Amino acid sequence: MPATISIILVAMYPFFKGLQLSFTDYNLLRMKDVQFVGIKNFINILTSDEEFWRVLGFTFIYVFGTVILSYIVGLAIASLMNQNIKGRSIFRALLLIPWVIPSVVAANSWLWVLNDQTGFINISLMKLGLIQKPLLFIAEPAMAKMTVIMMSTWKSFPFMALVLLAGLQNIPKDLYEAAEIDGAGWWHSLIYITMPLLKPVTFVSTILMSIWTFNNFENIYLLTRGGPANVTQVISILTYYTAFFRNKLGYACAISSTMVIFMVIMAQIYMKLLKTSQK
Amino acid sequence: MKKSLLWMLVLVISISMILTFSVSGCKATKEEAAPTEAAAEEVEEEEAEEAPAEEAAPEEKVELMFWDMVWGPPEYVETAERLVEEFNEENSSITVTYQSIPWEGFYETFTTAVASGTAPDVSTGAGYQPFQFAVMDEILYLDSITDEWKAEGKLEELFFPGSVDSLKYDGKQVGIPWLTGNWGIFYRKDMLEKAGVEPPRNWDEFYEAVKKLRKGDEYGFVYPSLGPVGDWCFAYFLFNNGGRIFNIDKEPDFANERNVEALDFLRKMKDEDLVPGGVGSYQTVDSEKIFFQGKAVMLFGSDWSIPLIQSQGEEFLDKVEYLPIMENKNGDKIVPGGYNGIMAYKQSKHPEQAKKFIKWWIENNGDLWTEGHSGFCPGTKLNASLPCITEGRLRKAFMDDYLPNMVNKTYPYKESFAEMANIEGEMLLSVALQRALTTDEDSKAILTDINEKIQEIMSGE
Amino acid sequence: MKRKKLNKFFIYLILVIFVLIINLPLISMVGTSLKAEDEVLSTSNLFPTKISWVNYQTVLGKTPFLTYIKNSLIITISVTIFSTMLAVLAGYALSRFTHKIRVFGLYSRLLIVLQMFPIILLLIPLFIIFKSIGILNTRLPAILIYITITLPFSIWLMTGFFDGIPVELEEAGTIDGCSQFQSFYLLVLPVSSPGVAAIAIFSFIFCWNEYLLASIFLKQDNLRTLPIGLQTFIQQYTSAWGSLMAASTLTIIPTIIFLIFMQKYIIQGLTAGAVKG
Repeated sequence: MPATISIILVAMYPFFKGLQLSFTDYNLLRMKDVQFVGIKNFINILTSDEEFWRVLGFTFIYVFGTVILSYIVGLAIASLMNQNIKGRSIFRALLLIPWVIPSVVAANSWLWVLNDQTGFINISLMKLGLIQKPLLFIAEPAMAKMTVIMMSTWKSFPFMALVLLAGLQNIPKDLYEAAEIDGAGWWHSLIYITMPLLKPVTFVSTILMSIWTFNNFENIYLLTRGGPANVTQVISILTYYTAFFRNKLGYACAISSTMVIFMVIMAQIYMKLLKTSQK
Repeated sequence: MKKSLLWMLVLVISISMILTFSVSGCKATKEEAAPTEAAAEEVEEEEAEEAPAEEAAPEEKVELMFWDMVWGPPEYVETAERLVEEFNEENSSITVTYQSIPWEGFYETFTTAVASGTAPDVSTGAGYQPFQFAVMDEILYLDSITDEWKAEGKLEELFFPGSVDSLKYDGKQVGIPWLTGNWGIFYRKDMLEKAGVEPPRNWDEFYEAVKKLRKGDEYGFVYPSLGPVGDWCFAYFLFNNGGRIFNIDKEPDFANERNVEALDFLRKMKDEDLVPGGVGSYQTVDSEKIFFQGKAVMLFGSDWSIPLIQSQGEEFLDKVEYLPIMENKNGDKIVPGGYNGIMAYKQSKHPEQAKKFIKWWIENNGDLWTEGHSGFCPGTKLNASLPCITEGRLRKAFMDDYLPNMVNKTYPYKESFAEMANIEGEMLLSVALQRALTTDEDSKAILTDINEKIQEIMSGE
Repeated sequence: MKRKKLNKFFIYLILVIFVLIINLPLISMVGTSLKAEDEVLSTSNLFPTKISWVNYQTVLGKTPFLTYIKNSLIITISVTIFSTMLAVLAGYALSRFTHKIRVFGLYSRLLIVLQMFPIILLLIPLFIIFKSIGILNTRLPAILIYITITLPFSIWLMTGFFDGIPVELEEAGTIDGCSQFQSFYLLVLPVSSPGVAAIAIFSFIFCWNEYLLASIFLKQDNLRTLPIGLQTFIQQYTSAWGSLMAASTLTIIPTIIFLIFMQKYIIQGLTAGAVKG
């Protein structure tokens, strides 16, 4: 179709432009003098950029954590929503709300609720006597890492829930009934019926979610600005800083290109794994 | 079916390689961008030559674009739009279009516009913005405006001493000061009196006061450490202690003794539970909430905290007092700050009209405070004498105390420079502060580490 | 029987708890938006002691909020329509011709790979392109970019959806004398309307909330969309929290209404579409 071909050209342009800039020293302070520098940027990233590797570590934890958690939560919610109960459409809509709240508002509302002195959660827990000292959700490095993963999960599980719910609805009900007659418990039907049948959905939704989480910048930036002490810094924030505060747009593009290669390789391994597990 | 992704990637990369390596491909894209810029420049030059002619024939309508950041509540934008309207009426040959620019991502907004030749004619912006664009050679020098004021003998009555010079880069005027941000500590008079504590005048007294004020869920002091205000908070304490970021030769000197002391001071209060435990992650609104809820006696805030304090009602306002700048060991009072400028861009096709507008704006924008309720302090002497500024008890105390003791963040180096914008952008000072508040790292080691980063930024590599 | 009832009760309970936890920020947002100015920061309660509409008055009275809504609607609806149309056509082509032409299979993977590069780094080249075409001060650049961003997901979904519709349907149509296009238009499309609704919703939500690109390409007052409108309340170091929350509440109301009415279509659409991957 000609329409699709023209659209793909528009979509491809930025991608190729990005790759092309990766081989230059494009600098915002010297925009009129862009030099072709070959693979120098890539060599620098891979051999001497300690910051990149440090940030990469947490980025992977963050992306995996978010995707896995949002998958689990999404599956749980999808199962709940799959129940035939009254008011189902209202519940469904209410459970999808995190998806539509503007990020600025979501981040700030969470910060207000999570504050150690004035936050609703800490005050409630203290009143209930469940904790003695307020929980430092984002002021304590390890805790902060968990909090940003939770927040990101909160923002992404509605998408997962929707896609998985669709998958669930396609699984014939009699399969479960048969399993129940055979005496299989809830866990067994999950492992032997639900999961295998959801595999195609799982594959594409997790891949897409990984890409989106990876490139998402504002979720963490608005919540912790990469802090405290840069422990929640991720690649997307690093590229942003590199491009706009260190003015090195070419280098930032090189980082992104490197990451594209990483992601494609990971996706490849992931696909292989899925294939072997199928056998 | 498993036409692998990897295969795809090889394809994609090889195509891009071909694109990049083939000389024609590379040159073509480069030239594609270059001629538009070159063309734009030519047009500019032509226009510049024509400019005097245009003035001679005033019927010719000149259009200017003015980008203004959000410097106040919604009524600020309303007032600014009305002022621009007034200018347009007074100057029938010029039509200025007002455009309010949000802070979120403003840096991309400006760089993309400048890079693509669609910069505004005039804009306001972050503190070091004029210096950044001056480095890119995109800033229009405004010396002729200050010369005019000098000739009219207005310079002294319009501006605070030193403020005009603070916006000079390489000896040239890159912006005209119009607004200033001040930082400082507010305290609750009533709570201090109740605890029998005098307002502290130096760091020792401050520490003692905070210690005495700590009881139950009440803390003596609260401050933000995350985000741009966290950055300023640490800057406030380290300059107040006689510390600095750069030495007089523009070399990074962030790990000096005074800075270590300042960091240790803030850290000690946290370790002794004299400030809330979560302080290492507070943004402005967190500390404000704690202060407004009466859970902290002292707050690190700013001039723009004043409207917030006022919004809590008369009763609360009466209980809040501004803490004058504390003396350091040498008996000096030093605080960091600076003037924000209004600037014009070289890309402007009508530089003369742009300058005319800036001049008018500086002389006539008092309503931004009287009606626009901007929380920042005015950066001109003219507007500082507005009744709404002088009659506000807190604001007056703030301005009288602050401006005479204010130094630039690049102090003791004599000028501002563009790299400071990058240091602010990455919020390196706040990163140092957070590391001290949330880890066991040695203060000196933290500052040395950050110093290296500053060095990296300065070297431009 | 009793056990079943108990089960139901638990499901409801869990659902309600989930809904409450998940929507805590929403509750806090609406609660704050109803607080008077002096109460926004000075209490940690989620709800105001006395409901005040002052924030809503500020939003509607002092900012061109209605214009923002209008702009958001224009952009969101046009993107949704175009993106959906293109995705339907592309999805159909991919689904029906993949086996004949390898390139199409490649194409769908390419769509995913293309998404991996962060667009924020490419704002400057994009901007220059749009300037050279001369469509800068219009809604077109934003619409074009939004379409290309929403397309990959939409196409993927539609491809799967059409895969689920048996080819026999069109073959029957061809026998009855329909052209290929007619059989697509008259037979396949009606069956796939839920899928179409689903991708329309995805595009809608994306465009409604997008800020970064909007802030670059829709700078002018008369073009601004809601997410930029929200920024009016955010200053450099501080924000008008009450008004911001009120404006946000107003912003998400249309999407929530949209969700409540359309979610059953999303689910139907995905049911037939996504599963085939």
